[in-house]
Amino acid sequence: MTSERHVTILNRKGLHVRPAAAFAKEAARFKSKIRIVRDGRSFDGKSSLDLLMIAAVPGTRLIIQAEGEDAVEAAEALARFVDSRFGMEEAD
Amino acid sequence: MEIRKGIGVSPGYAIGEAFVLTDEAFVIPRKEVAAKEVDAEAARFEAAAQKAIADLGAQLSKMSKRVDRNLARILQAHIGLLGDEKLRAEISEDIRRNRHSAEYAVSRTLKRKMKVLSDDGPVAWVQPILQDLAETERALLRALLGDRREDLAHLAREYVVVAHDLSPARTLNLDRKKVLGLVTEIGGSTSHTAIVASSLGIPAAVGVEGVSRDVTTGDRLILDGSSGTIIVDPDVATLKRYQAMGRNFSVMGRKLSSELRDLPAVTRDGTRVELLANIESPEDIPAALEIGAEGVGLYRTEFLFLASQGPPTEKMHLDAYRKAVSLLGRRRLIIRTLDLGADKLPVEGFVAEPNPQLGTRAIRLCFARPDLFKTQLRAILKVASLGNVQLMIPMISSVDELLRVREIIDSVRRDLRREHEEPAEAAQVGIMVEVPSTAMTLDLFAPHADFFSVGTNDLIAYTLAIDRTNERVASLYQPSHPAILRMLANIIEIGRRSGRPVSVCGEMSADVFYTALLLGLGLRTFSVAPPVLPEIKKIIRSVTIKDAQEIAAEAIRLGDARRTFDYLKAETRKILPDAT
Repeated sequence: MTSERHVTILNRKGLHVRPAAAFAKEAARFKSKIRIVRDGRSFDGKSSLDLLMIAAVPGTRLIIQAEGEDAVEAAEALARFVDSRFGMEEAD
Repeated sequence: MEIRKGIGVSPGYAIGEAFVLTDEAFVIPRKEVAAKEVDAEAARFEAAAQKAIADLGAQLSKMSKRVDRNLARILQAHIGLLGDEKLRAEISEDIRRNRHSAEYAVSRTLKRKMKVLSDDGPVAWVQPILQDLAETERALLRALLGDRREDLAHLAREYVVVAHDLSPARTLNLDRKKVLGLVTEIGGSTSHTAIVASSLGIPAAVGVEGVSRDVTTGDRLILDGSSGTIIVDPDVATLKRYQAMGRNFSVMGRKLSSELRDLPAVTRDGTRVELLANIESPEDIPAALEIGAEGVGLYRTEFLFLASQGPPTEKMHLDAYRKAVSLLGRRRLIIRTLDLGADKLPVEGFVAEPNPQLGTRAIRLCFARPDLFKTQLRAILKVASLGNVQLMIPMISSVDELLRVREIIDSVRRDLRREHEEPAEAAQVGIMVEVPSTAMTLDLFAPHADFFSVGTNDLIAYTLAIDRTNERVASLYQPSHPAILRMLANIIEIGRRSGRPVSVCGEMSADVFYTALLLGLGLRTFSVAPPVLPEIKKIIRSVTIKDAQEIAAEAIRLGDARRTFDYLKAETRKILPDAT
């Protein structure tokens, strides 16, 4: 099963080390393989290192691709996580 | 075997393992392991990654709840990066496929990531990510290098320390027993490293290009602190040759000092010369006396300020000065008040200055922060009555400033008397002559100063407009410049006419090539780094004042820095054939 969601980075400082770590941790909760696609390049959604390598600034559009038994649920939850600014207050 | 050349700034030979001290970036050279060691190397990396995670975890748990929550979260994020499967897989792959050492694989993998980011990413956004990756690299290398990555205060073994540059704070606590020698990339013959090394008697070379990048901790190294030569990974023959030279050197040094220690510094025609020591801390005093110093001509108190977290308390000053007095008895102790710039000191309310050498330094900082100054003065005045203590003020550039200092000293005395202390009434107050304006108008200072001490390092730098830490212009820093010789002649003459003692405490007085010249100009007090004292004494005992006067006259007549220096070198070698 696969599922895909489009998201936009809203955090003022972009996808830096803290949101990257938070996202990888969130992604690890799912069995599905998680890929993040930016401009045709694909990154491992469960690797905070890979997420950092996206170097996403505020406004960057990304595609979350999930593949596996819980793909729909994973893509949905992770998209919401990005929309919620990675669960972080905007203070940072 | 590989030979590098730098500037030799503190004589002696150091032979041993290199210890590369790094501030920010580790520079790990390419290193391969044998095919059969690949598994062990990969396991070593895995263990290091676990250790790095545990280390950060320990830091995290030590952080109290009061500490910024953001900081804790960043630490957690770094722990996450260290545990990142993908990163670990890539590094293991590099070890297995390319047979790279774990250190090199870590460094290469992360440096490549950083390069990709800095090539593609928008600079301002990418910068913090680069720092996180660099921090990950550091954490892994720290875990891999273990006890080889230590600081100068806690070396496990003896090392030749190699660094890009050594800050005063860093050299402050270095363990003299473990540091065989110092090698830096930055600096000239009067850099901080040079001063510290020669005052501690540790061989040193500065200005050795690329050395902290090309040498790895654990490499075998020979350092010749006279010629500034570095030999990396020497062959057996070279090693043996240098070991023999090292033995000779220390025998010669000991012989020279034991022969001369109890002999007075008197010229052949009977003129008495005073030889004092420059020290950084009271702990230097026993060795200075042992080698024949008659007292302390310059006690640099900056280290007190650098060693404490905030400004030193009166008690910290007192403890240090009392110790110095108790070691010296009735011998002279000249304490120089704070000679730091606002750039070197975390002083509240001061912003970075574009040109600290010409900024709020030394006495100027003391005027701006009278609390710092008064605390130090109180301690000095309290101790002064216990021994032969004199006060020396750095960076004085006008008579006005000296008068202001005198007023502050008087007010501190009044305060102390009010508190029923007994401040020394007679403690002499002298000035450093190191700003050209003061050197040019010294007669105006004579009525208000009890003595003069020439700080040649700054005097030369300010007169010739040379930043001596800038290797591009360091070669233009010439003590033999005619302007300097004329200034010195003038200073010594004014001292003689006004009855004010003159000493030279700058590096120039510790350089054997200038000893006869200074004697000839009329200098009778030298204050030097203790290890060079026997050589200076030897020259003094080998000349007559008439010889020295002729040498000085010819040196001035030549009127050219290079020719004067060559002449002085040749004359010195007639007296001390192996002078370097």
